[in-house]
Amino acid sequence: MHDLETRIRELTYKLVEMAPEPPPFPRGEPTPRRPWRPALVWAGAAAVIAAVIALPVLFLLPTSDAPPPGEVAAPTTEATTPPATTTTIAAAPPVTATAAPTTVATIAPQPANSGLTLSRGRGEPGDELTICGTYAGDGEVTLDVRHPEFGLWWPEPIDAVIDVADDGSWCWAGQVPDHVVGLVPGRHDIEIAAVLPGIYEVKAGSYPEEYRASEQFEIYGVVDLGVTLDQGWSYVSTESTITLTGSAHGQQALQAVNRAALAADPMIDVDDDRFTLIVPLEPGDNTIEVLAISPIETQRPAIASITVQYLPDAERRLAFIGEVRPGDFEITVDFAEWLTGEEADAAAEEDGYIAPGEGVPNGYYIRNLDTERTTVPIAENPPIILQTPDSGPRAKQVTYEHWFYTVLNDGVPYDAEPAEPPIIEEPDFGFFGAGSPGTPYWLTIHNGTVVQVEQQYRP
Amino acid sequence: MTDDEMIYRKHADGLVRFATGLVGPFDAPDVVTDACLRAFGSRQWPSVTNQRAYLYRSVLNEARSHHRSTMRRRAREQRAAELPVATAVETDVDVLEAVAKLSVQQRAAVVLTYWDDLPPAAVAALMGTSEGSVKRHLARARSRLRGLLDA
Repeated sequence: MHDLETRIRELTYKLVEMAPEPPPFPRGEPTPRRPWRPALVWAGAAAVIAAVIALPVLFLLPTSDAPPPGEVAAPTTEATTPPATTTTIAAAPPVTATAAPTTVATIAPQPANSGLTLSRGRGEPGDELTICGTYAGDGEVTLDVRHPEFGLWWPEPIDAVIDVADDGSWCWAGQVPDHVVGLVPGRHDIEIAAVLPGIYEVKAGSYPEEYRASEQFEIYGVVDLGVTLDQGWSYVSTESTITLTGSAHGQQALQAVNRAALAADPMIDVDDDRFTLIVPLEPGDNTIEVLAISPIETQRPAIASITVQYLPDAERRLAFIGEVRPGDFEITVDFAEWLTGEEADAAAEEDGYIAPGEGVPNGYYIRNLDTERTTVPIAENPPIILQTPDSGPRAKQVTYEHWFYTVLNDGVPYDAEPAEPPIIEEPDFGFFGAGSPGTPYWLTIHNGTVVQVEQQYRP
Repeated sequence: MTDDEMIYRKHADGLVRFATGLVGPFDAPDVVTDACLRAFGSRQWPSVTNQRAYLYRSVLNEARSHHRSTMRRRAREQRAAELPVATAVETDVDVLEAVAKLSVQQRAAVVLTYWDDLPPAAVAALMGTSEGSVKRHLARARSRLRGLLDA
């Protein structure tokens, strides 16, 4: 029990210590409350009942402090002297005491968008945005933007009070944010979410006259907040370390954690969005998490993870792909050698590919003196990593079927009557010659079986 | 400076802390502002003798109204916040989540009891309810928190 009391007290302290500075002394009118329909229905019913029984009950009401606004008066059992104004009070139904007289006035129907207009907008995160409008009243204009579906508010315009010129025109200028803020119920911390593309609702309001107008603002860009890895796939490695690259937008520091080895690298600062981490591997399966810490204290860490299988006794061999039959766990390949530097020059000169002293173009030479094809077993759905020209040559993982049907076979279905005919797409030309017979691939071979296929980029 | 301003300055810190316990730090200023506006504008205000208790009860009532009107908005925000932007990590935030499982009345009883160190009778006076009701709120809050904290 004592432990529970302590924990509740700690919890309460944490909650209350988040209290902000008190707002300035309030002036003007309170925010109007929405009429609560069930309450109004009950009020009507109560009024009928009150006409019969209210009079004697009201005689029992206390004469001390009245309940604060919004609080229903509870009858008391103590007999008191009937006030002189009993007849006047009894004319009102008891439940109407839940609304202050000023509230009733402000929830009365208002003319729609009376005197208040605003412009539409369109942009992407980071764009400068100007929203203008007109307002004929004497109050203040405020602006707010939120996603109507998710209810996420823009961080900047909230509660912004906009100056209205003498001619009634106003403009708000700001930047389309790259993140939005939402208060998560019950947790009392700030959630930062990347801006979602879509139609946002720009809402303008006047205070204290409470005129409202809204327009739409379209965001067509999106920014990934958090941490992302360039290699977001399962991977087979023959090296004892793996180099991870990625981006950590808006993050302060990050570290790599290898769950398999129960090892965590030191936390490093994020100087710019890009990072490179060299992470040691343990033989077997490794789950590596890159954990990024936001500069916002209440933001939870972002995590990106990758699964790496480290096979110390596996080998990587260069080969040209011969025949691939979907459904068969075999492929036919032509092994070759990938040579670089002086070794490449010497081999190319020896093979008569270049003249003496010439040097191989681009610094590499593929030696393939023997074009004999070899059939090797291949694992079921091994990682297939191809080179894509998106933003320069970058690796991308595809499925085994995608590799065959849309890359190697130029979109032509294989005629071996597969059990379930696949959906045939257009030939995929989104890779650097991945379907060309002259495209080399690195095969990772473990215990005689191909466990990974990686396209070698050739400039 | 008017009398109302002096009263407000005297109790503003406590009211904002109390409101933070009820609706969270981001909505607390709005709740306090609206509660005070309603209180100062009410016809009963000039005759109120215990102004502190009146303001606390006004904040409590405003928080209850606020809680009801924002539940749907909060639910949408929560759905959006759970988009796969980042993977959650267990932190002390989970402890704070537990408070949100309480009703507004239970939160009020907990905050006044554990933060302000008030006895049930004083809590009852500020909440405008009976001592027995405060004890019931506290017992239910402890029961719920025990289940949540031990989960």
